Amino acid sequence: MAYKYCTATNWGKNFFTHEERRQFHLAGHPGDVWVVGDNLYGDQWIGKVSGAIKSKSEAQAIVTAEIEAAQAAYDALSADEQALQTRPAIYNLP
Amino acid sequence: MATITITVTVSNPGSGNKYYLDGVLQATYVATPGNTYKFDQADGSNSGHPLRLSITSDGTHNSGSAYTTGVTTNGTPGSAGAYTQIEVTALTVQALYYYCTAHSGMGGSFNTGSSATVQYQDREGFNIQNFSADQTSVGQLYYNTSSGQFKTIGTGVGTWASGTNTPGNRSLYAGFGTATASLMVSGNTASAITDLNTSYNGTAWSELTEINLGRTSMSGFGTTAAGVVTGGYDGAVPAPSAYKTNVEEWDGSSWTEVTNQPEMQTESGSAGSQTAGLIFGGGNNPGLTAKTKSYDGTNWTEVNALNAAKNRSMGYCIGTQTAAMIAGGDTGSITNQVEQWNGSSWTETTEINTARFLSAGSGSQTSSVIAGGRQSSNRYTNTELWDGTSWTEANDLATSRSYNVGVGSGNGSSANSSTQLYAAGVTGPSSNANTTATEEWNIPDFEIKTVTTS
Repeated sequence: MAYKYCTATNWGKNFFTHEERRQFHLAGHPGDVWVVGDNLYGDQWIGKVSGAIKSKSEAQAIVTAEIEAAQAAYDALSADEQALQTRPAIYNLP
Repeated sequence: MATITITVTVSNPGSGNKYYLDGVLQATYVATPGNTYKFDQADGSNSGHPLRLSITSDGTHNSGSAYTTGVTTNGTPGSAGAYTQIEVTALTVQALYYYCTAHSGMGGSFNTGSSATVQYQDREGFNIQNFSADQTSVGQLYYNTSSGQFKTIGTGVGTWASGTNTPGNRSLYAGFGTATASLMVSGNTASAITDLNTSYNGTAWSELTEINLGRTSMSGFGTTAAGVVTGGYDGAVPAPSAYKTNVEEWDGSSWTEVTNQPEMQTESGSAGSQTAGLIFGGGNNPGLTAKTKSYDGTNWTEVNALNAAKNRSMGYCIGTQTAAMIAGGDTGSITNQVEQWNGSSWTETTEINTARFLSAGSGSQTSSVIAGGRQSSNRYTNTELWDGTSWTEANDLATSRSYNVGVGSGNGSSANSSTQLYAAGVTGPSSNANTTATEEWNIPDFEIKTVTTS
């Protein structure tokens, strides 16, 4: 499946609708990064939410930076506090 | 699916007796598929005027007959409890008429569906069967000779859509109620435990009277008019002294401290109402517990325990005091176990496909949904539907999350339109950050898809 990548801030209701979820793949990631199915409906949605188009590597860099910041926050916790959470792990976008 | 009551009265406007629907003379009624419409004939003026439906105007007075698909009747018109009702589905004849079986000229039109559905559904289509399963019809196929289009009408597919963002980020709160009337009580903000008590009406969030003892990882059950919050802890890092047995009741406007739990039991599953509640499993620091306790509005009573002690299943709150359910959790390792409560004991049943804890869900023992949750550092978008027998993978959340709560009448049934709220929590898939984003689940009653031939 081909994807497009963008950043957009989720404003809440109607940011993505039930109908849109049936029309194209959509997945949110840290840093307001959205992976969007590459079809007509996905393109229309990016326009609707004023998404800023990113290349896959640009999107990955945003996600990785967010996770690294979360890792740093985790590492700064006490051992007791760390025991209640898990250390975030970097992963690759599809 | 809702039942909509239409009050029927009979009066003579000067041209003989006529039906009035909700006070409107011979009203032309437009119904929506998915609802049941109840013609209430309890009013005394209905005596001697049984109302029926027909595909022919004025029914039997115009050489027609009564339409009976999905129609039930009860009682004697003019007496308490008398009604005729029709369950309107996607396949109900679109142009119906209501009439009096005893007198001509009293009734009017009862239309079901939009003009678009009228166009296709007043013709008989071909039944569509599920090739990979049994021979049950799952929809119908129509061909429009004017547009050259095929249309299929079938059961809708459940999806998650974005809901209204919460006023601030929250996780590990108590949540209960319905998709259009729920409470999100206390829990964690980004940096602290909060006393906030935030309600949602399906459209907007608002702050109500704060709880007396702010806490996190507690259990809650009930409604926005009569709820209960119990247990939890009030320290960011739970020392033994931080664990609480406090119980507070919500009456729609304020919180009242009531009898404490007899012992610590936190992060429990929960179900039921303010006067018939149930908590099950959870933690009792430092270990896990399988204990089940029922609440009668005053006292807690220990009843038969879960088959396996498990913790952190508090977001999947299914059922009632006599028919509850728990799915997933932490038994020392993350589990996909599912147990059902019949009012006296727990029985293990079909496991969820993806083992997880701190997931959310809603519904009943015969129809529910579970979504999100986590295992290790993975936070899931996975959604599974329960039909009373087995779990089926469904469309994923848009954003993975855990540490949250599902509320509502959510369902795994394929022919319902209930919605539910899946609020806030910790988003992911690899972050410990709380979020304000919510998602709402919906299965439409039916949908029409168009295929244009070339």
